[in-house]
Order: sequence, then structure tokens, then C-alpha cells
Amino acid sequence: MLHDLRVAARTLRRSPGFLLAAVLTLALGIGATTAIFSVVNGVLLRPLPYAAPERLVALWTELPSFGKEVTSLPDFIDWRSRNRVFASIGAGTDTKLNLTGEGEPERITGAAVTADFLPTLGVAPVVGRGFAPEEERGVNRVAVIGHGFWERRFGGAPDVLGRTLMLNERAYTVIGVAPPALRIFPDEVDAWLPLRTDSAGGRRADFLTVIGRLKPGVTEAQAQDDMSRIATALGEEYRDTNTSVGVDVLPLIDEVVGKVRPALLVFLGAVGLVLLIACANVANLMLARAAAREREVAIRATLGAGRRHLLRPLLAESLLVALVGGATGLFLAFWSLELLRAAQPSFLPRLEDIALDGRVLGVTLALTLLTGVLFTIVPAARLVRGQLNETLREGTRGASGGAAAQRMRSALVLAEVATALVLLTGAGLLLRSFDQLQRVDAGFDGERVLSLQVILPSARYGGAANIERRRSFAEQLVEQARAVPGVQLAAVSSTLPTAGTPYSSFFIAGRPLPDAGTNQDVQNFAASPDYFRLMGIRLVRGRLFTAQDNGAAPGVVVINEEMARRYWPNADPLGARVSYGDPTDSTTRLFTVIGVVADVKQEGLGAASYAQWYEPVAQRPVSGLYLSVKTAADPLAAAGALRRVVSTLDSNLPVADIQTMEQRVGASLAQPRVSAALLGGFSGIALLLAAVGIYGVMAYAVAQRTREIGIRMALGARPDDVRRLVVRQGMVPVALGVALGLAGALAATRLMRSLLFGVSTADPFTFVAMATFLVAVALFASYLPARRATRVDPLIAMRSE
Amino acid sequence: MSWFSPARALSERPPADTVLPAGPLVSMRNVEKSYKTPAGQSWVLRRITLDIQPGEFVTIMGPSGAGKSTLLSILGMLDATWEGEFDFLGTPVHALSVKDRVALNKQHIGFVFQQYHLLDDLTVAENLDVPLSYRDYRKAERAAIVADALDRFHIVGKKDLYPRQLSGGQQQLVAVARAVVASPRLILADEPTGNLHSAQAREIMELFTRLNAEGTTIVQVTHSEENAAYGNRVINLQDGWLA
Repeated sequence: MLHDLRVAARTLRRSPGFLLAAVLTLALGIGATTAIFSVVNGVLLRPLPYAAPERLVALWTELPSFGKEVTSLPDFIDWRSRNRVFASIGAGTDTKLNLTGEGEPERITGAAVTADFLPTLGVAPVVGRGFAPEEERGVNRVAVIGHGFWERRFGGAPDVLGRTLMLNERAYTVIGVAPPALRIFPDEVDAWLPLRTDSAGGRRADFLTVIGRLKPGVTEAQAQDDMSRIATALGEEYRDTNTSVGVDVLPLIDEVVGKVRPALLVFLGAVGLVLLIACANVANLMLARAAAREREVAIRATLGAGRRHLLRPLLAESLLVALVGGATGLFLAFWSLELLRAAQPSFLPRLEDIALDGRVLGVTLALTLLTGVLFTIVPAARLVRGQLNETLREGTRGASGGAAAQRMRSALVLAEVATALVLLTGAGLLLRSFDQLQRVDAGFDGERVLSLQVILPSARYGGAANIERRRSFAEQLVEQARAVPGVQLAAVSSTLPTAGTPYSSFFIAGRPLPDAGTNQDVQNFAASPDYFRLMGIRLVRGRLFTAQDNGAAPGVVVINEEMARRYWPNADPLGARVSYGDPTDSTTRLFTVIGVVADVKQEGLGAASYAQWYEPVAQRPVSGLYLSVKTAADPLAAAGALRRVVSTLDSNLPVADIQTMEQRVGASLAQPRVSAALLGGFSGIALLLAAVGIYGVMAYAVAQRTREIGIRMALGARPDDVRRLVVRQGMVPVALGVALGLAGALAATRLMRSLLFGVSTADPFTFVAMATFLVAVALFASYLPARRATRVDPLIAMRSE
Repeated sequence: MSWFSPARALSERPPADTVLPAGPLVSMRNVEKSYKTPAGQSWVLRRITLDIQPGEFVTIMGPSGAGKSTLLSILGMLDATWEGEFDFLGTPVHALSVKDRVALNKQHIGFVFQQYHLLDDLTVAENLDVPLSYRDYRKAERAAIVADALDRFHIVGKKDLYPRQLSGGQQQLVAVARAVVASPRLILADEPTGNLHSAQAREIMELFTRLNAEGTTIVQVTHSEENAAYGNRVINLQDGWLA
């Protein structure tokens, strides 16, 4: 075989055009498949980097009218004490922390977790210790720092234990360093703190992520049954808060990667199709090449070669082409993964687990060898059956030039067209969907708006005692920001459009309390008066806040249209009174609805509208503030001045999350944009390959028919007749391929339902447009050889055989 | 100069077969070949009955389309679609499977073509090695046989050249060397000098004569009376019939 490979290399060197076409085609197919497979492998297939990861589950509260939700502390404590199925169960929540003390203040990512959180994952600190159970009760103020933070801030020094960190202006002693690659929350955690479990909150104050490690031998179904039992019991014990509230037990891996799974599987399917098209193209190239090799095969047969001997040189050549194509593809994959890592797409979890590991290399090698064998089978089957004696006589057309071979080529074109159309349709739907998303009325206008976040540490600003301090800080912040040159408007708010928001239960005065278990909640914001104007949030009726809606004035809220529609479908909400607590309780604070504004897409452009209300920040001076400014020119130019404003007001406050609204909206569109771009790219490659395939087949067919065309022209055929003849021959398999492709696309695009927004999986416009586009490309690809056919000189053509 | 040293060849060439068969090498009885066409059956060969004895040098002649090359293909077992009886060394070819025919061909037959049909991407030495690689020779044994053949045909100096680097005569010489390298009993030559000028053609025909003298049976197809004169029997074909 080595000798055959050596001879194959020699032969291929003499056909650089063929080699280049075949290798590039394969490299594109194998490269794209390898790149996407390594992402699928790293994200979906590799086990989570924890001990016995198959026993890890996530536990969610199931609210009757809201669905999956995080969990409250009291519920978690009951789950922990009453369950019979978990070896351990832990809870935690991520948060942002102000790190002060040495150097510039910095905003870092923290997580407050129960003592058994990290042990449940099966990880232990690489230096020092984890949390003791009593530390959940605030016995010591301790921290386990993240591995990345340890290296970044302390240079990986082992003597970090015992050092003090000023977090939110409170001193924490470092007791340990967490292991690397610990990604349970969306952002890498810099400091793990003990979660206080001794201060009970409300049972529907849901904020905890809960994980559990199943006891050996316990199945997820058994765990689900046990947790449902506990949920039922809690429902009976706490009717106000827990009626009909369930618990969902789901594999932890689904939690980490569930959101991207449909997209990744669609991509994997797409690159598989690209690879198929590439294979069809190379098979076509091999067929044409086989025609040129018929003589060699016939000679070998006369010299006594058996089937095995005849196949070996063909196999060697195919394998060599496939191996070079595979190696080039691997390089392309490596390069694209480097790009992916550099881009750090935030929507893609487990980025650090994506690598060209043994499994990926194995799959690539298998693909390469398989494609190598596939390419051999098609031409070899034809060659070995060929009539040797005829082949060895000159002037006789061999087996590969015959009608059967032409049928095989047409079948390959048909398959390529059908496959390319499936891909094109999928990409078309994603593009349409992306377009729809961009057309969504987000309810705000973020043009020339820059925002930054500050968190007022509770040590100096927290609690009721500091309410005036917080109010004053917010007022001064707005005032001084407004004085920055170029700033037209300034406002503060508790959150920003697209940045997510807390949900709170609420009540309407004068109406019966909602049934237990019925969710009546609202996305609530605190905002200063200019916030609406700054964000371009349209006032529908009533009025907005004024300076008079201060801490001393009666409570007021501005609600959104969705809330007005849902809760006052046939009435005017203005003047209605709402509250967070029971309105019949005399201590409950009531707010009067003073205005209605447009709905703001708070959870991303694709999310449905939800009830929202805004309170004046003067009446609810929150400690987490976003400062936003609208500028006359480039908003980013104001960033430095705004930092200085914050630092002047409080030099210990770190500034974080400085972005324009356009950047925020862009980030929220990142996944659909990347999806559309990737599938668009794959279908572009598929279209190119299919066009090249059609062109190749047509050019070959024209070359085969040169003599016939010459005779026809000698008999008076006009160029138009010849062109029609050739194009018709080329378009028959294309038409059949389009029909098959449309049927395939109808079936395949159903799998994309979860990726689409505002467009049906069978969108007729996309289907027709893509089919028309593909036919146009195919027409062009077959027109070129047709045009060449009309230039045939009848005399030369007739002598050509 | 002659390309081939007969004295050396006679003394060193491995014997084609130590025991010569008693009967004919080739025996054909009523061999026929036809194609089905829309107009009906089109005959290429009709009722061919002939014997070829071991050691004969037979020339098949006839006008174009008479069926000469087809007959040669059937003799060489390259064509399996015919009717009648054909015994080769007493083995009924008509009753053999494709695999067994290939095996019989491999063991006993060598080919020489008008277009030489050397493999373009193999060197002279590698071309000579090809027939051996399809037979049960060990690698060292093959190398020795190739070296011997290069020597016998005085082409040692050309062993690393590719066919495109040789003249037509040299290519045909290599083709003949390749045809005999595995010591066949029968050499089938289809217009072996058709592409050569007369001096080269003479050398090749003399080479065939010497190989024949050593005991190799030769069947050639030719239009040339001069080439036919090198053989000892002429078979004429006319419209597929033996004339």
C-alpha cells in the first residue's frame, strides 16, 4: 500500500488542478464539520468537569403560571432537610461586588453559596479550605477566591490564605482558592462567600440556584418523585405562597448547555450537509478522473491484476486526496476555533472545554477515511465493470463516458442541489428571523445613550438608616452628570432595557386578593424623572414623574401598556392604587398609577411583553444604580468624565458595565446574529460547491458531446439551439433536486423552531426565494459550458473522435 | 546494436514450463461473438474453430473490422461475452468463473499493444514489476527478476526513466520486456509495430522470433505481410469468419 501511496502522490503531482479542487472542497467540508463537531463535543458531549457529573442535577421551583424559576431560601432549607434522595444539596446566587482597599476600586463577580455547594459539585479548594456549616450563620466573614482571580490579583501566591479582601467595604478573610474551570454561574466567580441561611426571607423571594448530587443508585425520576412529595407538603403547609408550586429536577448538564443545544445541533446538521455536498463534488471529480484512468486500469487488468489489485491504486489516490483534504480541514478547524475563542461569545457556555481533543481528531480521521473510501467506490465500481478490450482500443469511448456514468453525475448534481436548498432555506429562515428581531419595537430608543453601573455598598449606604444618603447620591449623580459637556440628558435607574429585571408580586387596591398560587407579578424599576425622555420611552397617557414626586410625596407609579391591558382591560388605570403587600393592611404602602408608557423589551427583543411599573428613584432609592446619559455626539466620549463624576462623589465606588445602549442591544442579538451568520456561511459554501459541481458536470458533458454538437451545428443548429440543448440537459437534475430539496427543507426546518422569531418554519417567501435563487445560480453554472458549446468548430469537433 | 542478447536469454531465462502439454495450447470450437442492435444481431466472430500448438508463432490477419482484435481479446481472456468452447492448456475457459479466468490469464499470458500501454506514472523498472506484483512472488524475488529483465533487454540505464522520457521503440521494448517478465506461455501482440518506424519494427519482430525460439507461443495481429513473415502460420479473418 505504501508503494501505491507513493505512486498516487506522483500521479497527483501531475494533476495539480484536480488535486487543488478536490483538497479545497474536502478541506471546506471536513474543516467546517470538525470545527462545529469540536464545539458540540466540548459543549454538549464532554462530561462536566466535576466528580461523577452524571449524578448532578439542578432543582427549580415550578411556579404555576410562570414556569421554571429560581428558589427562595426557606424553600431551599426545607428541600435540604426533608429530601431522601440527595447525597448533598447546595444553593447559591451570583452577585456583583465592589473590591476596594488596594489600588483602583474594582467590580468583581461574587457568589454567595451554602457550605455544601462546592462539595455537592465534587470540587475542593486547591489551596486552603471550603466553608464550614457555621459560616452560613455569619460566624466568620470568609471568602474562597476564584482560581482566575487568584492568579490575576495575587499572582497565584500560595500565601494568599489569611489575607483580607475589602468586598462591598466589608473585610473578608481569604480561606481558600477554588479550582480552575469552575463555571456554574454565567460569569467566572472571583470571590465565593458563604450564603447566610439564618435570615429567613419570604417563600416567594426566589433568588437561589440549587444543585443536588443524587445518592448512588437514585435515578432522576426517583429524585423528581421525592421532591414533588416535598413540594406538595409545602403547598399544604404554606398555602399563601406554595399552593401548586412544584419542583423540577433536571440534569445539571442541561442547565449549563440546554439553551444552545438546539442551535448547535442545527449547525452540526448543516455542516454535515456541507460535507455531503463536498463529497458529491469530489466524487464527481473522481468520476471524471476515472474516465482518464480507464486506460491504466485496463492495462493493469491485462497484466493480471485482480479486483483487489485494480482497487488499490484508486483507493490510494482517494485516500491521499482525503488525507490531504482532512489535514487542511483540520488546520481550518483549528484556525476557526482560535477565532471563536478570541471572540469569546457570551452566549456559548463551556468555551474553555472546546478543543481538538482525541475524540474530535478520531471523528475527523474517520470522516476523512470514510470520504476517501466513498470516493473510490463510485468510480471503481464503474471501472472494474468496464470493457477492457474496448478501452484499450483508441477512439472508443470508455465506460465512464457512457450514459450510465452521465446518469450517475446527474444524480450527484440532483443530490447536491437538494442538499444545498435545505441549507439555503434554513439560513434564509434565520436571516428572516434576525431581520424580524431587528424590526421589533423595543419600546425605547438607545441612540447616543451611554450607561454605567455603580453599586452602593450596604456598609455605608444600606438599610433604612441610609435612605437619605442613597437618595442624595442619586440626585447628585444625575445633577453632576448633566453638567458634563456634551451631555443632554442624565438619569438613574435600577436597571436598563434588555438588562433583565426583578419580578415582584403586587396587589390592586379595591380588588379581591388573587387566588393562592396565581402569579400576579410585575417587572419593577426605579427611575429618575428624565429616564423616559432619555430612553425615548413613549408616554401613552397620564403623566411622567416630576421633581415633586419625592420621598415626602405620596407614592406614585408609571405602568406600561401591557400591564394596563392585562389588569384594566376595560377601564382606565390612571388613579388606581397598587402595592407590593396586602393593600388591606394599614401598614402597606400604596402607589397611585399616574401614567402609562410603552412596553419596553426588558428581557431581550425576542421576549414577550410583560407587566412593568416604574417608581421614582426619589421614592425608592435603590443601592444598585445605572447612570445613563444622552449625548450630543459620540456617547463613549463621555465615559471618562462620568467615571470622574462617580469618583468625585465617592472615591471608593468602582464603576462597571460602561456600554452604549447600542452595544447592549447588539449583545442581546449576538446569538441570533451568529446563528444567521454561521448558517449563512455554511449555505454560502454549499451553494458555491453545488454551483461548481453543476458547472463541472455540465462542462464534462459538453466536452463529451463536442462531436455531436459539431454535427448538429454542421446540420444548421443555431447557437441558441445548442445553448438550449445543453442548459436543458443541465437543468433537469436541478429541477428534480429543487423539488426534493423543498420537501427536505420542509422536514428539516421544523427542527429549527426554537431558533426562529416571527417567521414560520414553512415560510413560503423564504422557500420560494431560496429555490429561485438556487435555480438562477444553477442556470448560470450551466450557461457557461453551454456558451462554450456554441463556439465549437464543427470541423474540429467532428475530427475530435 | 541489438536490444536483446539471445544467448544469454536462452541460458538464463527460467523455463516457461518444464513439462509441455500433450495437446494444443489453445483449442477453439465454434466460438462466436455478437452484439444486439436495434436492427438485430450484429456478428463480430462466426464459428471460429482453431488450434494453436505450443511453440507456434501465429499471425492473425484480415481487413479492418474483420474481428482480429476481438479474437485476440477472447484468447487473452479479456472478453468474457462470447459463445462456443475455448480450451486453454486443456482447461475449459468457457466454463470458468471470471475470477478463475483472471487467474489463468495471470499465470500464462502476456500482452503487447500497438500503443505500448506503459503506465505513465511508473518508471521502467516499476512497469516491469507490475505483472510480478500481481503474482505470488516475494519482494526480493521480484527485484531479482526485474533486474534480470532490465539486463537481458539492455535497458538497465533506463530503469528510472518514465515512459514519456523514452522513444517509441524503447517504449515498445519495455512493453515486450513487461509482457515476458512473468514468463508467460503465450504472448498476444496487437499490431506491436504499428507505431514504430521500420528499423525499430524489425528489432521488435526479431525479439519475438527469439522468444518464440525459446519456447514462448506468440500470436500477433498485424496488417503487415513483412511482420507476418516472421511467424510460421497465418490465420485470415473475413467479416468474422475464418477465411
